[in-house]
Amino acid sequence: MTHKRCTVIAALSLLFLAAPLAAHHSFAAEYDITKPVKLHGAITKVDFVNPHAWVYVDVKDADGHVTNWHIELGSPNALFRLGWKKDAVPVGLEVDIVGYRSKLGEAVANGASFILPDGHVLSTGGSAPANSKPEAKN
Amino acid sequence: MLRLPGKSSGVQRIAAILISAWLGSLIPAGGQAPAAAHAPPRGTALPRTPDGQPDIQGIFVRRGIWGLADDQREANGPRGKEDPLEDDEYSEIPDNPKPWYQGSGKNFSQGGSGSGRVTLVGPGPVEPRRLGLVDPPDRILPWRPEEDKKRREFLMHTNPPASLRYVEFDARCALPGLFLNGGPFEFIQTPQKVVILSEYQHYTRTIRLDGRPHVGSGIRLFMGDSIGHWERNTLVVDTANFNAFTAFTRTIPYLSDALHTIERYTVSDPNTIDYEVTVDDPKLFTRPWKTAGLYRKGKDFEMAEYACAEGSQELVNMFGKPPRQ
Repeated sequence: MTHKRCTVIAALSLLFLAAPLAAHHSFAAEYDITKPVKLHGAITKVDFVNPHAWVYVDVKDADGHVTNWHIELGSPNALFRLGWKKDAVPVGLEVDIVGYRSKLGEAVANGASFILPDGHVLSTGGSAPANSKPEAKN
Repeated sequence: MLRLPGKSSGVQRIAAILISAWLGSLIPAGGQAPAAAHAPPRGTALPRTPDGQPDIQGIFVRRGIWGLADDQREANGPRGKEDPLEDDEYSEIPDNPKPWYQGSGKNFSQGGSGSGRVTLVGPGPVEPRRLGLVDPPDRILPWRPEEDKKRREFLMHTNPPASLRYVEFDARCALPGLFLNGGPFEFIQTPQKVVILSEYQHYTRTIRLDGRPHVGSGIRLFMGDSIGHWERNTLVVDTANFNAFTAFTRTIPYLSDALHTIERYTVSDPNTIDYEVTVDDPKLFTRPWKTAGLYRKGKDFEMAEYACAEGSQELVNMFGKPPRQ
């Protein structure tokens, strides 16, 4: 996968999110648009459940302390129609995740995109507002 | 009426009358818009079911009805301009030259707990549509002032919710009412009913066509009780018996049990339904108002299960873990 193709895929992912979204709850009821997060870690669990799929990630901080983050995605139906396969983010995979932190301050975030080790960007189909475009690359 | 050149025989006159009547039946009767604006393209005969109803069947997505933000009073939130009521999440007024609903093969996408990608089939309407609030003409929602004040005060406590009372109904996996849903919707017809299946929250809505009246006023429902009839190519649906647990958008967070709606589903072409709903809630508004939307058919789409209670973490995300698991 070339860098150029990844950029195109990333751009296309954002284009699909450019349409106004419908969700079963307001994004702002749970997540803070002013608190974007960029995480790097290994997947520990993937749960394809309604109303939101969840991916769990072990994130190590500078002191070596590990926190298991909970990342909210779109519904499983949305993910499969956006091209996710069941093993898209297998347990053990090291990924970068861009999203928005929970308003409770917990290690919980609304995931906007996943960047895989090969640079491929996966849109999460999540409920982040369409006009927010967190940086997909460091 | 069709006029034939020259002198015509009785048979020819009868044929002219029949042809005129047939041509007239192709023009749908849409809400307030002129019929010609929603007429099917020349040469397109709308399909019918075996019992003669205009065929409205298929899987569709809907957008447009939430476009309420022309009015600055509606656009400004409880804290004024800094806290807009209608954010991009629900801003539906199309402002680009190529509306989402025109063109086949386009990908309509709903994120959050929505359906994800749906590929639109068929060219869709040729002329652009006015979507969102269409009546009153000044596009200012006719709130009762004291009710507008109450809902703005209510909204101050919703993000994040101060208590369970301020949590959106469908965030608790309740049925979403008529408005909090962009589809996909599957329309199925029988001679006695039109049935709308919704993937979101996995519900069935039945519109009776058999002329029976509404159920008794003591019966209160999330989706209301719907009775319908056809006016040429428009399905007119009268819905009453709502409970007090539905909302219109995130920023109209509740409607009352006095709600009564009239929906008009106009089959404009085999892949397009022009939609208009009259919202009549006399407890909240001084008069009824109307908003317009559009349904477009999806290609090769399979409805899937959506069981909200399967893994909902909303209340934990809002209020934290309970003391005992």
